[in-house]
Amino acid sequence: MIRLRDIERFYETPAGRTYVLRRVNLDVKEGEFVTVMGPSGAGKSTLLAILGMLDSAWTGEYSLLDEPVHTMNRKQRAELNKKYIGFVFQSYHLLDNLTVYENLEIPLSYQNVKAGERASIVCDVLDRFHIVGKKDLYPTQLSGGQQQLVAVARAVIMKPKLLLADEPTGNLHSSQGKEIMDLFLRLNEEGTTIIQVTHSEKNAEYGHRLVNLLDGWVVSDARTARPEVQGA
Amino acid sequence: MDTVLKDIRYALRTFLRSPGFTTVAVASLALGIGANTTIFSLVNAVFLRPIAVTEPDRILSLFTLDEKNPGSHQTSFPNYEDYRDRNEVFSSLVAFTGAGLSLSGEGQPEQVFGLLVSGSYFDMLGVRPALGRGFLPAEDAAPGAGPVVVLSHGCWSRRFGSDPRILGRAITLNRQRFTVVGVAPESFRGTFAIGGPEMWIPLSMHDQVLSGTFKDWFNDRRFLGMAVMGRLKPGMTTQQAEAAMKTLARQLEQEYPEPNKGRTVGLLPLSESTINPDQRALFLRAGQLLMTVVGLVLLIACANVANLLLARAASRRREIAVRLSLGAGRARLVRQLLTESLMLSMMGGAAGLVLAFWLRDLLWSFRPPFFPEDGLSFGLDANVLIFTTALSMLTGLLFGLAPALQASRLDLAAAVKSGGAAGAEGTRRRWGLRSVLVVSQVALSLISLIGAGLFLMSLRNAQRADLGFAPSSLLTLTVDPGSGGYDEARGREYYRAMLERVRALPGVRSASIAEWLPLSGGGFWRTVVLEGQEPAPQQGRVLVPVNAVDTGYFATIGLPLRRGRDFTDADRMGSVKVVIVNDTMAKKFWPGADPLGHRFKFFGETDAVEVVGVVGDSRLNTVGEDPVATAYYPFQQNYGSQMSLVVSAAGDPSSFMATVRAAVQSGDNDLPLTRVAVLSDLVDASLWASRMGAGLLAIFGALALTLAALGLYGVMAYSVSQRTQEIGIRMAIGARQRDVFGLVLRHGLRLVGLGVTAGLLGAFLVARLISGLLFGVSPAEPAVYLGTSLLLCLVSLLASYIPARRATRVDPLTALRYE
Repeated sequence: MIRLRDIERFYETPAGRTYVLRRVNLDVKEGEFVTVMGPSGAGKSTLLAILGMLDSAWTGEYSLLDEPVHTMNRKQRAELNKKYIGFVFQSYHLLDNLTVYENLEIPLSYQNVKAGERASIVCDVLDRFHIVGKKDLYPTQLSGGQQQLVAVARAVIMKPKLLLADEPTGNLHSSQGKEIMDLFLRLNEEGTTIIQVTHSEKNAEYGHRLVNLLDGWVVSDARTARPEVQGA
Repeated sequence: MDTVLKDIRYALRTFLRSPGFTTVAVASLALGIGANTTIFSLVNAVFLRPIAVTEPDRILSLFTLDEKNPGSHQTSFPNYEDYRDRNEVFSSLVAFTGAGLSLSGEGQPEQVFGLLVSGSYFDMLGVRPALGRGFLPAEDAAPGAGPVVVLSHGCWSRRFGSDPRILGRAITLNRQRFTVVGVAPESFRGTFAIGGPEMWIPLSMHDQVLSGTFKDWFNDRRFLGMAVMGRLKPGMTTQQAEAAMKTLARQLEQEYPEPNKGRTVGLLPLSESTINPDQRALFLRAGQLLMTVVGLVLLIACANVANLLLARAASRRREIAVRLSLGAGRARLVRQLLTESLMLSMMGGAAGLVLAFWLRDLLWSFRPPFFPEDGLSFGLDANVLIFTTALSMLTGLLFGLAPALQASRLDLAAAVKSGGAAGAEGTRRRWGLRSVLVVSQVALSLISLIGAGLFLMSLRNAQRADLGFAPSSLLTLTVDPGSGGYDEARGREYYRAMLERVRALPGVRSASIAEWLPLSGGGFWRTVVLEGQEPAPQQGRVLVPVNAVDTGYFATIGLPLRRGRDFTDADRMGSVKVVIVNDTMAKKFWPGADPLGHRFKFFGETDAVEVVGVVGDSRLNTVGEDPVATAYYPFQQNYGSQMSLVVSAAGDPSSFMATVRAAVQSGDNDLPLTRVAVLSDLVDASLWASRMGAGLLAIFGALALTLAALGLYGVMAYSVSQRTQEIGIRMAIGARQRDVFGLVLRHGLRLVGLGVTAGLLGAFLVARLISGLLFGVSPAEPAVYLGTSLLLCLVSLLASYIPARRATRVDPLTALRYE
């Protein structure tokens, strides 16, 4: 599904070039659940940003579903992003002035989905995530876990093939975090490819693969022993 | 459409959640748009709104052009008759002239402004009376044939209580009975942009209602006393009509060379002659100046709101980043942000429209004194609504576009990673768009304030100017016995008896009468033809204003007698005709020589007049004008029906007002008295231009200053909030409170310094454009520039002080944990 070859990301500073990612090569198959770990400054979030097409100042080759992203312009990348990728942020990044319902609806609106269809999809997702009762609440009226739940729902509402999660449980209690990870597991079992960045080894156990970064380099890439789904 | 509605709903929700921001933004815009709407409604009423006649673009005004006397003049009645009867380009040509009418009978006697018009006046204009009819041809066919009157709608409602049975009723005008035959529609107030007659009377009644010189010269071919207007024949163009009328004028010049020598005609569209063409340029300039000033205020308001939006955009980085990451295109995002801006500006426009109603009254209070209070109706019409709506939308785009474009261009990855914090970026972008906007606001405010200062100084100079006489000790009132049916003999006796009564009042030092007073615009102008020598080109056939005055006038009003003598009782009908000239006329016509004893004729007179005295100059129209050559002749030799009494009293003249008034009215209680005032009040009223400029610019300048101060405060406060971490670090490594205070204040003062510099330069360039309106003040007056700059710096210092103080209260520990 994903092919990265010689991906590099650097910043020009008065002291010279500062590399964030160095010659990253990575292949991810459809349906895989990949965890990216490493110390602070290793380049994990940068890698995720490149995969999610939030960052375009990189060099190398990146193919997504055989589409050569590295040859595309900004508009083409945005279209690809909209079509195939969902993003979950550490800080949830819900829109505070929109209700839960409206937060879920907004990606559909940006995809020019008709109003009637949007309503049907949102109701379906609300139901699926058991948050129907919260649809008229604002994010500030929800707990951290609930907000992240809504964020995940928003990320998957367009049924993306790829879900990217940057420290999805970083701001949550352990029980809330488990809830979210269990959800990710379920999504993965339903076919969604997931790449997560995390500091938590417990969270890493949910994935099939563990990729370690250090100073921008991929230092290891190994399969995990995926445990039983916890708390199901 | 659905997404646009969503954007609107979202914008409303956002505004409700930020009441402070919304209030400040809407209030700023309301002030700016309201001021512009007010001025535009005035400009619309004066220049744009068509007169309520049929096909106004087919109506032309005809003016006489005189090669020796520049300007657009009226036409003589005999010439008009020839133009009317001999032209082939107008389907109808009418003439009209104004007259002061004494309306008496029921209620208080009242002086009203009426128009004597040709019988086909209403038909030519295509005006159908609201009640009754216009005039019949027979009513204008022969002198005295039409004792009928059409009332204006305003007069009908004000004076006659909108009596539905008004038709056929007899009213008394100038002691004559006139029958009301019609009431004009409410929308028709004559063909004037400002003011308008209270009633219309057929021209055939001129002998009954006119008095004095006008009455005597009505049929004089030289006397330019009639306004003329006509409707073009179908298919006729203005150019064709003008060529044809000029041909006619040439024929009249050949047939009547004496009165018509050097004269031709010109045509102007009705839309350009609703104000006297010679004054139109001044009015246009005033309108342009006002629109420029309020345009500046709006720009400042836009800068304010743009600043607010930029600050909000910074705090909405996270939201913008999330929307972009969710798939929003940049165009879609800009559209959403522009929708918010447009909604703000439309709300501001609606509030501005409401504000304009109040501002309109304030603006009208600055009107020139010769504009009657109900002289102009500048309310809401389609033009004003369209203007306000278009301006609101343009304003929304103006202040919203830059912030929207800037907000959509962010580093997406950094924005979502940082969670939207802009601390570091805020530090780097200290001199960004917001600072530029604040500098612009300060500069524009300073330009407005300097303009106000220059006008205020001009007004002060004008009030202190040497007018050549002392107005503060003089009372005046105007009366017209001719309008009450007095013939010349009775009129002379009336004035003799009046002066006798007034002079006998205790406390009155002297009293006299004059046809017109200084600074009242003057009266008739007459052509001077020097006797006994070939007139040099620049002196031949030149017009000068002439004033009929009684004995003791110069002593009463305080004009010094330079040479010769004043008029005496010996200067009466039958004796040698004499004049007194002013210094300027003496220098103009007899340069380097003593004018005493010299003789000249007024055109149309057989007898020459002899110069017996020279008096000092006074002022004809405005305080600041150059003196005009003026001639005075004795009232006893030149009877005028309408005269102004001027009284010099010991002590406060206003305390004598009632006594003098009673003494005058005891002669005939039915004669209305007008312009009853202390002369200094009339002089003050003549300074309307300076007062209006000073007043309006001061208001707008204060407005601009308030907005600029708000803008500066906003930028400074935002800057401090963005630099909290930096300030915390500085304090943690040893900075004292005063170091932090100075750091923040210096930033503010740098902005103000740049703004003041730009403002001084801009003011210097702009002030040159208004130098013609200033009296005794240089457009680069240092005191004004320095004073306003200091005022602006002081206000700006205050605006920066609060954020600077707040910065000193930052807790380093909290600041270092600040995100």
